[in-house]
Amino acid sequence: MIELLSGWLKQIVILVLIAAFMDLLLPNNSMERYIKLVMGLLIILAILSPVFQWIRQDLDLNQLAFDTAQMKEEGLPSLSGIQQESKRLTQTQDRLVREEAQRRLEQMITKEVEERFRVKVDQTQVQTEEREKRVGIAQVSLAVRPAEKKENGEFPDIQAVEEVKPVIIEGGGDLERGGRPRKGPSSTQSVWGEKITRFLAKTLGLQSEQVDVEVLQGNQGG
Amino acid sequence: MEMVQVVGLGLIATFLILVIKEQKPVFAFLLATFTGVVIFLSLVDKIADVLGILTQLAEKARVNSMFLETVLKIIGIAYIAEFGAQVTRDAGQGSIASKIELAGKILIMVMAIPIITMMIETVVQILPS
Repeated sequence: MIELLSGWLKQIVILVLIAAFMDLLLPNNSMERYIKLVMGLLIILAILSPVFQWIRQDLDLNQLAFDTAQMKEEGLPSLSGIQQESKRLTQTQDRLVREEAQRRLEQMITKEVEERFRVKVDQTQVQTEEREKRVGIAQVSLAVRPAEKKENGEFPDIQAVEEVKPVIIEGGGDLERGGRPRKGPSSTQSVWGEKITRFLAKTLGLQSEQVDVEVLQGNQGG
Repeated sequence: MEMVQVVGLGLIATFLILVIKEQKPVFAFLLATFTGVVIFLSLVDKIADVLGILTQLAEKARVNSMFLETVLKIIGIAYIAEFGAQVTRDAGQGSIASKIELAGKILIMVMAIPIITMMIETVVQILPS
């Protein structure tokens, strides 16, 4: 309050001072009367400025009130729109979370399997599914290769890339290949596969049908 | 330019004008105008100082910038109109000088119009209709 008052008084005092100064500065002719009139008006304006502000604020408040009312009216019809938007955002978020979870799981499985068995994991794929608002693991596919017996790091890597290309199997072929021939051709590979399958099924709490391990013949190249 | 210099310039110009007025009145008029302009220009620096201080003061006191602008415009209009009117009056054209003064007055009144409008509007708003 005191600040407001002092500001107002300061303004008036300065304006009066300037007016007096101007009176000295001005050339003395017939224009003096006009100038004095304008200066007087300015000083009156300065004196009345709190009143102006008060009235303006009143007006502004009214306008603001109108604005908020209009905003509300505008906001109502778009409620369904907001709900749709929220649904869409929720779906996007769920999708992102599932993707992240799959990625983490893939990393974890790869690490675990490589630590426990002497194999190199080429490809891990985890598919999740949603059951009654809970996300579970639907299918785990693994492509492993017997690890080279700790040779130099670089050579096997380069060869591995050449090797894996033709062998990667995706989709429905996985089951047939991973399921049946496992017991047939090479016993060591099938043993590996079964071991890993059992381990993963036990660790992740899955049925063994849900785990699909493909053992690639990595030794031929290395 | 200091005071003595201004006075010196004025005296010299006056003597020259007195000398030249008999033969060539046109040149006397030109000389008078030129002297006036020179003195005015020599004072521009000081005027700028004064105005700068006034502006600073007003800003410090948080005077509405509209007030100050109006005041400065009024000063400018008054000075320029005065200058032109005097020069033309010296040249013997009193009617043109009075027209210039009239223009200055009207422009100053135009400055006042927004202020008057604002006050009248406020009064109308305050009074219950």
